[in-house]
Amino acid sequence: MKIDIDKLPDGNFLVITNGRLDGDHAESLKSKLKEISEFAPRIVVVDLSETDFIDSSGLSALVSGLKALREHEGALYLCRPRPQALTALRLTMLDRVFPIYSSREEAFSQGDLLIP
Amino acid sequence: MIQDTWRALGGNQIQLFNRADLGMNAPEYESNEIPSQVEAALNTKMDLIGQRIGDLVWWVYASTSKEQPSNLGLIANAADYIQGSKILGTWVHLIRHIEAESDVADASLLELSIAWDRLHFLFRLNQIANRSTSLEEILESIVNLLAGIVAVDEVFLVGFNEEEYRTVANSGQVRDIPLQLIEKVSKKSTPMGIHEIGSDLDVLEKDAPEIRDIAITGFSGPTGTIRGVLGIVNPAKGKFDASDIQLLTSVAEQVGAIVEAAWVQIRVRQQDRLERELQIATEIQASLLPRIFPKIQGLQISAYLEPAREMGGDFYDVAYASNGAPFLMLGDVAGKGIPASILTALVHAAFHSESFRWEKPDDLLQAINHLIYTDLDRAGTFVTAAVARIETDPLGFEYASAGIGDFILWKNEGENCTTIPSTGLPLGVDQELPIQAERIALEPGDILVMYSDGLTEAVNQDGEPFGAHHLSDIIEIVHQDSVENIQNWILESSRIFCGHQAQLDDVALLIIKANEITARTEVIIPFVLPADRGAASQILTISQQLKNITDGHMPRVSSGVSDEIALALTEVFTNQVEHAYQSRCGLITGRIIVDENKVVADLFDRGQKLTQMPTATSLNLKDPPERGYGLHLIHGLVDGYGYRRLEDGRNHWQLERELDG
Repeated sequence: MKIDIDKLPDGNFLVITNGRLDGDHAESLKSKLKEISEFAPRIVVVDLSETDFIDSSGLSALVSGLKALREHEGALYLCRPRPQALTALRLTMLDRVFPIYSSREEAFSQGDLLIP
Repeated sequence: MIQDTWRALGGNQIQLFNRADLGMNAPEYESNEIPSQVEAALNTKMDLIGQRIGDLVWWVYASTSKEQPSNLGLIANAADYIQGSKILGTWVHLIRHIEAESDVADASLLELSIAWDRLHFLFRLNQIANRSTSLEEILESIVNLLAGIVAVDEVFLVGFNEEEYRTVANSGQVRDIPLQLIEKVSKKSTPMGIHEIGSDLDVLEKDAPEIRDIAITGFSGPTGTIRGVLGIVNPAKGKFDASDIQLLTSVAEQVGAIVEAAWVQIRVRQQDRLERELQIATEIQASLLPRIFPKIQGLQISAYLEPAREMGGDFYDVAYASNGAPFLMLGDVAGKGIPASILTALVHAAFHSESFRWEKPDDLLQAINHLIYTDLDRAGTFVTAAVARIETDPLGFEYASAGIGDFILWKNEGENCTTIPSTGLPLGVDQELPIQAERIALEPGDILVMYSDGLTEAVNQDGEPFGAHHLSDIIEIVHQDSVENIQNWILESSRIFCGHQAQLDDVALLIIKANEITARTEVIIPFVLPADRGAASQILTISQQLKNITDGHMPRVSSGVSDEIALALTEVFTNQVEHAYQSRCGLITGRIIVDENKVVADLFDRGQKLTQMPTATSLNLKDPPERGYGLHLIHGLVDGYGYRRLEDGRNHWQLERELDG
């Protein structure tokens, strides 16, 4: 599991998670998102295209991140989830909590949603 | 001779010359040129120089005589620089000795040959050190060789290391060498003469020939530790002079290294011999194990033995009863290692010499006990052993166990494991062995697992034993497999359970399975995982096997379905690791069963009972909860699920997912 973080010139953040997002890896994502929230970014996009497996602890980490960001008036968007992640998001109805986009660009510009 | 000596020491070219030879007539030197360094050495009367010139090492000895300029030289190509330097250093000492003794400035060829004899002496010393098997032999050879080159009545040597102390002499009579004398000699860097010995002389002379003169010196190993003393007594010429003392010094220098090396070599040889013998003994013990098991209609048999050390006290065996039926035996001699392994041979012999006289396993065990009781009693040990005589009509076995309990019997029809108790005392406890036999029927699919306690007493990092209960758990999920696979699952599970703990005891395992009559219509994928969050990643690999099922009548499991089952299983697995085991060590066993229209997954663990069923929290979209998504996932991924606490103290989760034909 690898988490790449890019701080963009406009102060927004792009987070790319690789491999499995479960157990200890989820804990790691949760604390990274909390750190990011301290910068009070307007938008943080988590790119899930390289994440091949996500479980409930991975989902929990995303929700915790969302809450931390909201405290600083920020938002958490997801983009490019694989079918497994999309299933997990749908089953937990978190697809209605997180706006999910088909690309990073759409996400940052809050363009067309993957799931309207 | 010098040539041979030099080659034996690993050198190749060597040439000895007089000053007269210097010039163009050095016959054995190929280039016919004496390097300028050598000439310079001779002309400047240097004692000895060693020069590296390319691969060659040039050694030059030049006499220090005042009247004559240098007269002797040696040119050698030493493969081993250090050894060449050492031997030639001694050679120089010897030549000096000759020169001092004869006061001849220009050494004659005769004197040179004496010098080479003395060099050869050192060579032979080296040979002896390499070939001898006992320290005594080496020490004796040293004194005998030394007695051959110095004209004295007696040579003695005291050698010692941390543990041993040996005195040898050439005269056949070993003097009593006082310890305080050895200490005194050891502290001095030069040999001691008769006047320095003082009151110790009385002890030396006690019950031994009178000492007219004596020279005694210490010798040390390469590390500088004193390893002995060397003494020469009563020279033919009456008194020792400076040259004798010099000779003794130079010989002692060599002897120190040789004795030290001999000590090391003897230790290594003993170690090697022990290792070789242990290797042979291990092979012998392995050869006592049956190579082939009888082929019995309707049964599969597998056996495994792994001693904790090279050899062990566990064993299994096959022999035939008086009615021709096979007796299978599994046993454990109390104790481990070589002592226990020797006694396994005793049991083996008794088993094979008695089996054909008896029909019943209890009678056989009594007969074996009768034969080996005295030996076991004398060795202060006992043997636990169980014997099963296999019967084919009807299928089953008659069984007696001398002190081994808790063998596991899987009954396929009831789908449960029972344990078989011991039916008597261990062998070697009493001359008369009270023991009974029992008959146990085997139905198709039934399994008997005989094992030694090394398997079930192996502990995990929390100090908990693997136990018969974990063994049953494994059999429950893999019973449908072949005996070889069942054996592998058991051994692998024990390894997973124990983690990095080393195997402390011998393990013997003997499995008998009655073949199932009807072919299974479902596919079963068993799994055994450590109760460790990190192991969750293995679930994906396990569920991926679903995609590989290619049975014609089975529906194909799609990649999506396999991933969804993996996610549901991961959620249950993680829940059990966190809530049932709470970071303690443990195993989570399970199986995925696929039949024509559904996938059923079972997970079992021996963690705490769940006091609270995980509940699916209601979702407030504006303020979603940070936890509690697991059950939402399970609920959405499978068609049915349930948790129950089993009577045997296990947790059981079952998930079911229907497949579209």
